[in-house]
Amino acid sequence: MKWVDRARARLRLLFARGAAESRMNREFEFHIDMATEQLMRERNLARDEARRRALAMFGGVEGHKEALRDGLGFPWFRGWSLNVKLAARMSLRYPGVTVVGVLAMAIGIGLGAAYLEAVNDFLHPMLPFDEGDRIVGLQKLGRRAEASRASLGTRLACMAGPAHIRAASRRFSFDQGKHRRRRWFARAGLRR
Amino acid sequence: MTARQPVDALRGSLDLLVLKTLSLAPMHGWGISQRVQQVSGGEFAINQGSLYPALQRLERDGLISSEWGVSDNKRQARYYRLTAAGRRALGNEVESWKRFAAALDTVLRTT
Repeated sequence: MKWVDRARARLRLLFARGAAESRMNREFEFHIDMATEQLMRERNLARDEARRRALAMFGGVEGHKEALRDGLGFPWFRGWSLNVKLAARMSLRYPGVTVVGVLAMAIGIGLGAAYLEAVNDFLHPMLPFDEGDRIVGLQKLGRRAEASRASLGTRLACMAGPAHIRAASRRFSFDQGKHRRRRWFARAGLRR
Repeated sequence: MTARQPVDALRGSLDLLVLKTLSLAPMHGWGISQRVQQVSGGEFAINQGSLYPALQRLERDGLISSEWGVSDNKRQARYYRLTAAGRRALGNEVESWKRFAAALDTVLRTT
């Protein structure tokens, strides 16, 4: 599971940037000091000259640090705070682009949401109750007058088929009630 | 990019050199580069640009571990030591290097 350990190490280093940086600095300092002393010993140079040569032999310190930083954390994360600041500043400097972008996103999201809502109502139609998609039976309870006006069968059984529910919700308005046998029944009246 | 070793074969064996050096005793980065230079009679001068990334890579893979210590001249230095996994890896690397060298030798002799 080498990659798991490696990923964990990277994740840990991601949050320990300060410690890793200071460790890098101290390690390089030590190395260059040792090289300086060795040069002073072997070639009898002054400290400044020796240090200059040691630095030259070491190569670019920043370059080494970058190479080590690349091994830390996840590279694309590292500059993110700077990138966020830069993005904010650029948005303020070019407001036209920002407005257009925001409008485009807003329209896109709005259209998508509206479409999804319409499609959802089509695919999973609900009678306007709690758990409207689980209605098992509809019973028409009306007064004599309403019953004759409505001229419907007394019982309308929908097994939650979408077409039936759609038809039902078009033609009826509902009152919700609970049967003593704990099944949802609806009292239907004609839609006004 | 920092300067690369002129001999590219060394790049692949840098890990091997570091692991072998650390198998003798824990030491810091400077010590490793000095030891390798001494023992190879000046043949191998480890490029600093590749030493520390190699150490970081080996530590990340769990082959070596490191901790702060005090050097001979009373300075604070980061000491690296071989782990058990590192010892196993060293054995494997030595084996594969021997096989590689033998195969190359065979090819060079016969062609």
